[in-house]
Formats: sequence, structure tokens, C-alpha cells
Amino acid sequence: MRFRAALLAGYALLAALSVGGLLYSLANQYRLLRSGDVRGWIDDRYAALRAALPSDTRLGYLSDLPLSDNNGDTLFYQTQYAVAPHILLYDAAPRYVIANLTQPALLSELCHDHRLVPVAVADPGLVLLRHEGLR
Amino acid sequence: MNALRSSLALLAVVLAGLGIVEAAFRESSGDLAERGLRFSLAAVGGLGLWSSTYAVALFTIGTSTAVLMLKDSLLALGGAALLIRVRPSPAVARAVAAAPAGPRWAGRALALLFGVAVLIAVIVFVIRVMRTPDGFWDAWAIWNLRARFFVRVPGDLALALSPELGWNTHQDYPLMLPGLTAQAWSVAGYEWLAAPAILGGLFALGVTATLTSGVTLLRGAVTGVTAGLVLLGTSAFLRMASHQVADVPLATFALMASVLVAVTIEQPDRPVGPLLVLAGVIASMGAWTKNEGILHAVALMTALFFFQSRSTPLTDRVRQLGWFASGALPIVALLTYFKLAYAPPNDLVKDSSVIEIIRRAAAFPRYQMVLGALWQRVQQVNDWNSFLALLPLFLIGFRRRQPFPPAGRVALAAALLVLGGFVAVYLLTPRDLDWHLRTSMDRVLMQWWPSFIFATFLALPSPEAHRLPLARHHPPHKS
Repeated sequence: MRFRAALLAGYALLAALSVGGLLYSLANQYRLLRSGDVRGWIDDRYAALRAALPSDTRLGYLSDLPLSDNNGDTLFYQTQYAVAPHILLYDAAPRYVIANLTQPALLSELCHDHRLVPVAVADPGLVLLRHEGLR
Repeated sequence: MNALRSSLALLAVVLAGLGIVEAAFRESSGDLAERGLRFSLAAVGGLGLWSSTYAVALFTIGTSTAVLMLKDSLLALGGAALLIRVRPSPAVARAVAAAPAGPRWAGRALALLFGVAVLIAVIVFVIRVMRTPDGFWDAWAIWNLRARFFVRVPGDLALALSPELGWNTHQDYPLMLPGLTAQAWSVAGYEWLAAPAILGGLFALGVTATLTSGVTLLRGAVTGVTAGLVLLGTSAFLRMASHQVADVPLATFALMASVLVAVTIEQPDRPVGPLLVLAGVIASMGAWTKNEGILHAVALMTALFFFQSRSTPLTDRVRQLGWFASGALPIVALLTYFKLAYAPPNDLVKDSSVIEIIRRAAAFPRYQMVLGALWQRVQQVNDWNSFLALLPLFLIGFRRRQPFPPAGRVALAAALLVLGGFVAVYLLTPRDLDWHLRTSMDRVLMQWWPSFIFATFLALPSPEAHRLPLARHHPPHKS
């Protein structure tokens, strides 16, 4: 009898903890939503860039964040997701190059270093570039 | 045109799912838990078949609208044919309806509690999706990216699986989720971005319904509802479901296979053969979802062979494995073809030499790191509530005086084998171990979590009077 009572108490504890966990999640998520901790759709940022893309299958990619950086990695693969089925290569060799910068002021330096010129500006940090002399 | 396509796709999922489930159970019991289990099996199994047949089309004749409509028509017809062949047995319906039930007020209170919990979980899920509509890394870097290639350049598998995309996009991963998302987009006629989140929600509902109804069927409503609540009350579960990653779908398939195996062990007068064939089909869908699904399937087969009742003759065990394997065969063949014809070698395998593997296996600090990461999860109350500690403690505390029932033993052995497999992969990974643990352990544990909850509640004594085993009511049976 004591065993069964202990068992019932154990099950009640699990159920109570579960409901408590759910209520905590609800309160936490609601608070985050209200505080504006919301990420928009990835595509929203890349829509203008995508409309300007050439038909080349492979596109270059440059950023002020390297792939070894967590944020750089995230930015690269989000861009890849947005521009599929183009394939992004993290270098400036392809005819067209996407610059994705957290510091837009670095764009002119980047263009100068790689002899690139802007083709389309989706936002100050997101620009489609082509090599100078390429038409 | 779109209405016709959507109707056909819906019919294909519903009829194919119902067809394979009804063909396996054969008899209708009218029991609420069993109906819940069959419904969730049919819904998820139907989605699994819908996606697997998409891959067959993708690898052979392409995925034009006409081909997909033909494929869905065949799937719907096949499901309908199976349903027409199956006739419910009224004798079984009467027998199971006579099984003992608790007081009516207790049943209502439990149903109310569970209903409120599901409602809160749905709200939490929706808020999470509103906050991160594209999901987490794996969703857009792997699964939905692959679906985009399938839809934007249909038939160009070389491009979709190009190694130039980088190892991070894991071209060797199977195509269950991309197949579902690509078809949802194809049916919608545009890239309906909410579709992957809706699929994530469906799998989350499917795994919750399977766990609750499966445990209820075998141990009664108090135990079943508590098991379902434990899953819903694990914050990491809703987080990962909303992240649109493949781990909750894999967890769903792994749990379903485990539940079906347990049903055949505890209720041997059911049609054991067809149920084990269905378990094999469902387990192979897990393997078609993520590579770890192979580990789940092999662990379940191993546990079924070695850990069920000692009185089960060897020939019966071999026959059971044969049924399971025959169910898994078609989708395993699809997976093998994909691996041989399209997928590059897995990054964990190709970057390892035997010498390096031995060196890693002998490195004591790696064991410390893996066990340390596991211990960290046990302490993460925000993500795992306190259940990673409590369920093992319950198992130890409440099982002292009684042996594990065979179905509980098999389910628990399978879960522990899977956990052991994960630990081995971490010990031997060529990737930076700290990074690997940090980026994947929560997801990997989530694949295993519903099956472990199921195994725990199957192994624990039930606080209510046990439901009479169906074996006592059924007529002598066939396989």
C-alpha cells in the first residue's frame, strides 16, 4: 500500500513538474515576444539581392566575418539558403561576388582590394559586385 | 489544378497511412488509446510514405507535376486497396471494450489536464515559430536548403548535392524532410515558408500522441498521460520541434517502432508478423530521416533479439527479426541506393583513419568531456526540466523489488544501446569534440528522449490496476 502511495506521489510529482515547465515556457516565450526578441524571415533581407542575381551557377562571397567565426558561418549559410540554387564560394574568383558585411563602411576597401564594382545594393551591407571590366 | 493536386496529396498521405496501419493491426478494438495510436501511426506513416516515394521519383523519372500526381494517385489507390482488404473483427471490439477502466471522474480530470497541457504546448510552439520563423541552423543550412534546390531546379541532383556547398550542408544526409517540404511547396504552387514549421508541429503532435496512447494502451491512462506530460514539459522538445530540424521527426519514427515492438511482446495474440513488418517500415523511415535512424533501428532489432523473455524460442526470435527486416527492406534499399549513387562519404567516416580512431578511443579526457556534457544536460533544468535525472532515479527506486517486464526490458535496452552508440560516435568523432558536443548533443538526446520516456514508463510499475492483457480476450491468432 505504501509502495503504491509512493508511486502515485512520484507520478504526481512528474505531472506537476511538467505542467510547471510548460507554464514557465509559456511565460518566457510570451515575455520574449513582447520584448521584440523576434527574428524576421531570412528571405526578407535577401529579396532585392536575389532579384538582381545573374544566371551564373557559382557566385563568389566575401564578408568581414570569416567562416571560422560563428556569426560569419551563419551569415554565409543564410545567404546560401536565400540565393539557392546558386552555389556560393567563399572567395572572389567567380565573375559575380556577393558582399555581406556587418560593417558596411568596409565595402569600398573590399572593392578596391579585389577590383570589384557594385552592381546592385540590397542594403548597405549586402551588395552584388562584379569584377572591373566585366560586362 | 491546385485543388486537385492538394486533394490528391492529402488522399495519398491519409489512405497510404491508414492502409499500412490497418493492414498491420487488422482488427478494430474501439479502444480510445488504440485508436489514438493507430491514428498517429497512420498520419506519420502516411507522411513517411509520401516522402519516400517522392525520393523514388526524384531518383528515377523526375518530379514534374504530372509525375507527382501519378505517384500520389498510386499511393492513394494502394492505401485504399489495403483498407478494402481489411475487415474489423467485432469479437475483438467487444473483448477490448470490456477491459477495466478507472472511475469516470478520474478519466475526465486526466483528459482535462492533458488537454490543457497540449493547448499550452501549442501556444508555446506557435510563439516560438513567430520568433524564429525560419527555424534553427539545420533547418535553413540543410533541410530547407535541399528542398529549395529540389523545387527551384527540379531534377538537378548533382547541383543539390554538390560538395561545393560545403560539408556543413551534409549532402549525405537522407531526404525525408526535404522531400516533405519540397512536395508541400510543390502542392502549394509557391515556396510556402510556413510549411516546414507546420510539418515540425505535426511531428511534435505525432510523437506526443504516440507516446501517450502507446503507454496508455499498455499501462493505463494515468501512466500514459504522465508520460505524455513529461515529454510536453521538456522545454527542449518544443524548442526543437519549432526549429524545423530533423531530430523530432526521427524521434517520432524511433518511438513508433519501439511502441509497435512492445505491443507485439505484451499482446502476442495480435497479428505479430504484420505489426513487426510495420515496425520495420517505420524504423526505416527514421533511417531515411537522419543517419542516426540506422542506429535506432539496429538497436531496436538487437534488443528485440536478445532482451525479450528467455522463454521465447530462438526460431521465434529469428522469425521476428525477419519480419522487422522485411518491413524495413524497401526504404533501406532506397537509402542504400542514395548513399551509393549520390551521397558523398559521411564526414565523420571519411576523415578518420584506423590509427586515429584507436587513438581517440584510448584518450581518457574525451570520455570525461562526453560524460561531462551529458551531466551538463542533466543539470539544465530550463531545457530538460529535471527529467533527465528523475526518470533514471524512478527506474532505480521503483524497480528494486520487481523484474522489468519483457517489453520494458526490450524498450529500455534499445534506448540504452542508442545512447551507447551516441557516446561512441562522440568519442571517435574527427571533429573538434567540444564543438561537436556543443552543437549536437541536445538534438541527439532529443532523438532518443521520447523512446526513453516510453521505455521508462513501460518498465515502471503502473499506479493503476493493469489493463487486462489483450491476449486473454483475443481468439487464437495467426501471423
